[in-house]
Amino acid sequence: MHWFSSLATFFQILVNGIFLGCMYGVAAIGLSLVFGCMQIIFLAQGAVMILAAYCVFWMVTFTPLSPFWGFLFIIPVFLGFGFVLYTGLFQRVAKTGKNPSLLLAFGLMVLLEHLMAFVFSSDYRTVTTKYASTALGLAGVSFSVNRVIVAFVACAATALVFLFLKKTILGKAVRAVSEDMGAAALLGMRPEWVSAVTFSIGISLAGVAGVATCVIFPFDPYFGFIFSLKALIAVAFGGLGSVGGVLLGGIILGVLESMTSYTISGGWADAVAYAAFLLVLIFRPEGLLGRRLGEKA
Amino acid sequence: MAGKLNSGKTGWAVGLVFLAFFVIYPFVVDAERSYLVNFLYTTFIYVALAQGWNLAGGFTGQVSLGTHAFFGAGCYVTAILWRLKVIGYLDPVGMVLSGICAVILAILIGLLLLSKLRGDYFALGTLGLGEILHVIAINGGRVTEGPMGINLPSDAYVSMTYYYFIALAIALFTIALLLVITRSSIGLALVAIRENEVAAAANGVAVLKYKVIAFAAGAFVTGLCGSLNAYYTFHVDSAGAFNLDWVIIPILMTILGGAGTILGPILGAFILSGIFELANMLMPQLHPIFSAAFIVLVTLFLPDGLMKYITGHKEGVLKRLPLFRAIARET
Amino acid sequence: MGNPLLEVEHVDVFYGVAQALWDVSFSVEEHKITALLGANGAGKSTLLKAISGVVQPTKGRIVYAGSPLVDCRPEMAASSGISHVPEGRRLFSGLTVLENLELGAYLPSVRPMTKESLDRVFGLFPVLKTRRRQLAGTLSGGEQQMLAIGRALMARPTLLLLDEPSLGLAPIVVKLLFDIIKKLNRDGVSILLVEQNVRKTLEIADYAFVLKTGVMRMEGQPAQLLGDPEFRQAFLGRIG
Repeated sequence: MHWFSSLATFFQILVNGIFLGCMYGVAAIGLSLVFGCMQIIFLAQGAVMILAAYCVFWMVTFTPLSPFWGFLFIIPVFLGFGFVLYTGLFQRVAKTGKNPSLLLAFGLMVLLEHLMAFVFSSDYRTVTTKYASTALGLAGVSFSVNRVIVAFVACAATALVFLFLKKTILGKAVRAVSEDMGAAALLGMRPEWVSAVTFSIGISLAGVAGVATCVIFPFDPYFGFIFSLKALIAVAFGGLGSVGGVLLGGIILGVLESMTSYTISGGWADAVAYAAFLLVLIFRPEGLLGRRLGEKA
Repeated sequence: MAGKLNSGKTGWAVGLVFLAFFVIYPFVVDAERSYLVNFLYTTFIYVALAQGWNLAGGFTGQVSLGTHAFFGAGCYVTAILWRLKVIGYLDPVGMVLSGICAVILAILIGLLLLSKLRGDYFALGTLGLGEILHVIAINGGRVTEGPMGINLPSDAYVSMTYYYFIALAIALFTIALLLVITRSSIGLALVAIRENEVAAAANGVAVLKYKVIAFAAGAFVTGLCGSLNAYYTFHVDSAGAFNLDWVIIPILMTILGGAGTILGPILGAFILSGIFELANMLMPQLHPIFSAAFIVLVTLFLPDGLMKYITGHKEGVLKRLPLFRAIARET
Repeated sequence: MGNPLLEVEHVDVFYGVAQALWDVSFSVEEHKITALLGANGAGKSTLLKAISGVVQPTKGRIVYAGSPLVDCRPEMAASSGISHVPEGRRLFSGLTVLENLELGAYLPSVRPMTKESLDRVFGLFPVLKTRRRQLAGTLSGGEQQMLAIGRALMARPTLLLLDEPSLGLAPIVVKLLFDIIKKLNRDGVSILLVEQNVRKTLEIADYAFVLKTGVMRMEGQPAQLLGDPEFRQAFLGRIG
């Protein structure tokens, strides 16, 4: 064990963890939305993230645009991509049950990973931005500008999704269909359409998280699966049904990992995350702020 | 010919024919170099893994994503004990011990998770278990030799035939285990739990006990496979032992063939194994893509599995083949 | 006699291989309260589900306002003017009372009138207005039933299907509920009421049908039925 050498170091690690956690959070919100409409863990969330990361990578390679434009362009593209995925693939299996949907998500994940490896090669890629080496200093803690921007975008995305769900009629329909599809249909909501919308938003959130990832980490086609797991852990921490809660769950995970990485070692960070995950599942399955995953009345 | 079919008997006859072939074949070819022998070895292991998962996943409705936990545990227990010279090469005691370790692990975790978690949660918990073991193996210092893994004396290797027959034995044992359990009152309880857990509990079924039994039985077989794998590869490391392929592929095979049936995982194992080999031969570069695309297609068009398709489908070429009708009647 | 708003003709319904309804025929008059009675498991809910499109009949047809409903999904039934308040209410418990009501007016044809519809519902059920920002899951049984009916009314239906609204409610709440049902009917909504509470139902119904194990057994005006010995024996001979 290796303790913090100073208070400033502690805050530094904390801040790093928070930024990391914001990324987990955004991917996790997407995951919880998809869970709401399909009742499955969408394992391919991480792979979709990496796909977005590759898109940004190639955008940056061939155009002089800054990667942050990626946020703007990925969102509509991935909304469309999600819609196509749902209506083309998942809608057909949604009726059959949960197992086929889970397998389909899994198959999609493997397919995406291998396609990307084939097309883009398995080399690690990185994306640099103008701000890569700039940092703001505040009270002895350095905030990398990259990460600040990413965290900001993550929070903005979360806020947007929250407003959508809370204030628009379609957003309310999304929440209703997630809770009780049959009752929603009786009121005239078309479950397939609403599910398609929900899924698309989930995918575009994965896209946003992917853009965030590529700016911060080097990535390769197989990087995504770990992210899927982490997003899942974030959802477990935060609980379903609360957008803010899931973001918070992501942040808690990020901080936990960051702290463990520093005090013990990077390898154990993952183990601690999984152990915490199991504990939360067992002792507080509804998460800190939300409803239970899995069991619907 | 159709009229002469006796319900079930033809199915068993067919099975015995295959079995006879499997038993005799390695003796008529050069086992070391035979492609088919190696292919069958791998497939037998998959049959065992798939059936092991099928008991808890298919019959009891408890989807576990933790096969790799038990497989890896089996690998490591055997490797560690062998290295300490407590057991020998292809030592049945060692293999059974590995299986028992897996069972103990399953009972502990099973009691903990199954008593509190349902459905997806349980699946996630098992996944987490596997990942935790994975990390422990990496950081296990001298016991697990860290990420480099444990090397075992490969000069102990005698013949491929031994592995082949042990794998066949494990596969047969697993099938027999499932046949016995599912046709007993335990089997009834498991299906009752799968169909309606609350009703089963209300009718006096000790739900937790049976779930753990199914889970632990599957774990035992998985541990056996892991042990054999350690003997086969003469090297055990965390990436290989806890590889998620060990989770995914057996589940896929079971679902393809039909979860909750006896024949399903067997069919699924042979077919999928065959597909993988075919893909590997024809397009080695694209093999993973092809396999993944196959997975997507299967889930789109055969979501209930092959067995349900054969037995449930009113029309269909396969249905008319006497062979398949015989098989269908048996299951 | 009024016009038949809804005609169900020789309908069979299966759940998988289990048959729930055999050759069921009946009709609902416009602007009247029609009751559907029967014991538990008789198939009353199934019949409602066939009308609102949740299940599909394998034989026979259902005609609503002159047009047959073919391959009808619940969304289509809703936009035709049929509102179904299902058994157990099935509110969106994670959403507020107001949000539940707003979703009741989801259909594009009625959404512009959401504000007026809300006023009307709050007028009928003042308690919903008081609790409008509360989560639906936190309401009492009676309030939840009112919310369920209110939500269905937001779609401005011409036919309201009520599945056992009095279930689990205290008698005083049931009386209030039935008064409201009568009022709704006076305001022009045709009502098909499924109930096990025979006495109170026959007090307000204009006509009643009796379903027994999936088969339509009896029908008639309440006075006729109350005088029929078979009916009395089946429903009034028992306690409750």
